[in-house]
Amino acid sequence: MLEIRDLRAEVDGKEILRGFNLTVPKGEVHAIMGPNGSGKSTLSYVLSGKEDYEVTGGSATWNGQDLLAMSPEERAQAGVFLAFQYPMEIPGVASLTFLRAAMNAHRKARGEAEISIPDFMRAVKTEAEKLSISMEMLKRPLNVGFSGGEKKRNEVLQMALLKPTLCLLDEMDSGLDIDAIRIAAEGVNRLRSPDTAVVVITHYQRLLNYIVPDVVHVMARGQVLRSGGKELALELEESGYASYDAEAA
Amino acid sequence: MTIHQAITAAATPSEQRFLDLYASVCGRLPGADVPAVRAWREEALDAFAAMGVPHRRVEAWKYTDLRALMTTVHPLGGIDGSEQVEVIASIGRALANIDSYRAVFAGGKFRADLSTIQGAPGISFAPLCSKLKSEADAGATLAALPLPERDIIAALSTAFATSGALISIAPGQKLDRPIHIIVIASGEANAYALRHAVTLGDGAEATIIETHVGAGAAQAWSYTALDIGKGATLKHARLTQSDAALHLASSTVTLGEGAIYEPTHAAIGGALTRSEGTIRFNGPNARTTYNAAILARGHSHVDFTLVVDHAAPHCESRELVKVVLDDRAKGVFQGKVAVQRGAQKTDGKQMANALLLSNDAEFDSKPELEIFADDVVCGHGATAGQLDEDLMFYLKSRGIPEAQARALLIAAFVGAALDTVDNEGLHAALDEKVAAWLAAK
Ligand SMILES: Nc1ncnc2c1ncn2[C@@H]1O[C@H](COP(=O)(O)OP(=O)(O)O)[C@@H](O)[C@H]1O
Ligand SMILES: [Mg+2]
Repeated sequence: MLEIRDLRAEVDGKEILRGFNLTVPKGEVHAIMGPNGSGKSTLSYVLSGKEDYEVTGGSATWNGQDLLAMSPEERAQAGVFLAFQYPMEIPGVASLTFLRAAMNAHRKARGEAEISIPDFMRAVKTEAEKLSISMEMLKRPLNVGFSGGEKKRNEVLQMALLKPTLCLLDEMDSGLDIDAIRIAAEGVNRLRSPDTAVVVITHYQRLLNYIVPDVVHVMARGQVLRSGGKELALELEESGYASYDAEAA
Repeated sequence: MTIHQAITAAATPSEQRFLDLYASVCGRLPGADVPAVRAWREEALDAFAAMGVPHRRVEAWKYTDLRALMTTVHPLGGIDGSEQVEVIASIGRALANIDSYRAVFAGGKFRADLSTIQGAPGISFAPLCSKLKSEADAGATLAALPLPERDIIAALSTAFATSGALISIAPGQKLDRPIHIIVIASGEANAYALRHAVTLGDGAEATIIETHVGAGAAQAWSYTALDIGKGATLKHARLTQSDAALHLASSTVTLGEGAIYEPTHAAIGGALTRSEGTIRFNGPNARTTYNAAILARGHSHVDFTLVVDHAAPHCESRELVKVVLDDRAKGVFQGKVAVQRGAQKTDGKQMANALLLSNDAEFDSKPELEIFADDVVCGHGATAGQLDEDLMFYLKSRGIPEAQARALLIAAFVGAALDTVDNEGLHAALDEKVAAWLAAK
């Protein structure tokens, strides 16, 4: 279970998360929807441990483990995975090199031996195929020169190979056409299990047609202002976020 | 000798150390009793004395104050006796295993017993010392080994040379494997001087790998002249690696019409490394791609200085220099692109990027353009920065530990310069050297 209690965080002395509360039981998918600038990406960075964000109060635990006390790599090894809103381009590091380093880091943390090259290649091929990613592309430097859609599918590929238990998807649908959204969403759905919690951060309802949430939360000004069923997403699509922005001010 | 004495009289202690060293060894150097050899050495020694040991007020040595950095001159090695060396232990298995025609110089001497270049097809090879024995041999050999102007390293390497590789590749010859010149400066506190010369005949194709390693506080001086004939192609990798040694290397490369020269230089560590060179286009439509990488930490000081001399039109030069500095290390890149009168349609570009891993590390870059033609495209750029924290976070967020994430990014950074090496064995060996350097911290 993901439990976030009264979480406060600031960047450059400016408070962005202002007493954020959220509980996501294992096996559930929760959506966080909110206007631009409400702190959605900040939440995802704070949960995954980015250094620029200073936590000033509250707690965040995953299956009882204190996430905020862990380094980013420890969080990842504990099952946390952030699919970035803007995946990084890493010149000079081939995707395959990166994937193998990440998989082996996870295995090492679990006390397992490194994956053999044939097993690794087989695993990558299988998942890449499902996401329509060519092996040629994976020999190139990570995300360099990739289109927005290719980068996002690459994030899902990493997720598929690392098999996280807490998936944080930050605006996975931004910049994607419908076909690409469907491919990426199917990838996420394949990861759903009774042990997995998924947090889908999105501005638009559209993605939630493909990754159907159990609960929808409305976030504005660093807080959850309202929670409801999946119909809340449709309501937001109709009415927009204006009323929430105002309420929070 | 009277002129010689007049100069030495004015020498400061810095120069005097070298002059004293010469006086103490000149009777035992190869060719000591051959007047032509003696004259060749002393012309170089006089040139050295006239220039003096450079210091920071000498423009070309502004960032590498040799007078301050080199306070002792070790006894000259390579004259008597022979040192025990193990090639694999000295340069590492990966480099030693590259399938090549090998010329090994250890302790200032050519080691026929460790070399395989003798009699290699299409290569004419001789160690310099073997050509200094008679007046007749020496005359012909030394006429082809002139002293470049205003080159302190060449002057020292010539005056004190105990050996060196003389290589000539016949026109049209395409070598089936690289030539690997291995220079091991093995004595703890000796100085070694070598002079190499390589000529590639018209249309020839070759790859030369130079590996320079220095044990302890060895001092190594070398000068290399490379002449690349019309339409010939030379790929040239040069690795300098040591902990506390001092390397002073200089080279002059000349390219004929349509020739291609692709050097890749890497320096890993070393108390002081100065690697300077001139690449000169003597004919049109030639090109060079110079890639260089420096990895230094501790108190290392590594200086790459390069002049690309566009003396002919329609030539292209590319320079990419990647510098990684940690602790109190200092890196220097001085890159000059000179375009002579009439060298129209010159295309010269230069870029130097430094990655500073510590606040105490220092990178000095001095790009220089000297252009005497109007229809040219020339440019240069330099950057210095730290590891990108956002990229670090991305890697760590995938479970990759901090140290490994750093190593991946740093290897990728220098890889931009080193990945152009197409010899697989060498490529793997360089990767391994970089990884070992990264893991050593
Ligand atoms: N690294 C940062 N430096 C300065 N301000 C930031 C930084 N990250 C986020 N912010 C600010 O925090 C607020 C919330 O941003 P963000 O979390 O990206 O919102 P959302 O993802 O909901 O659009 C915005 O006002 C944004 O300008
Ligand atoms: Mg965002």
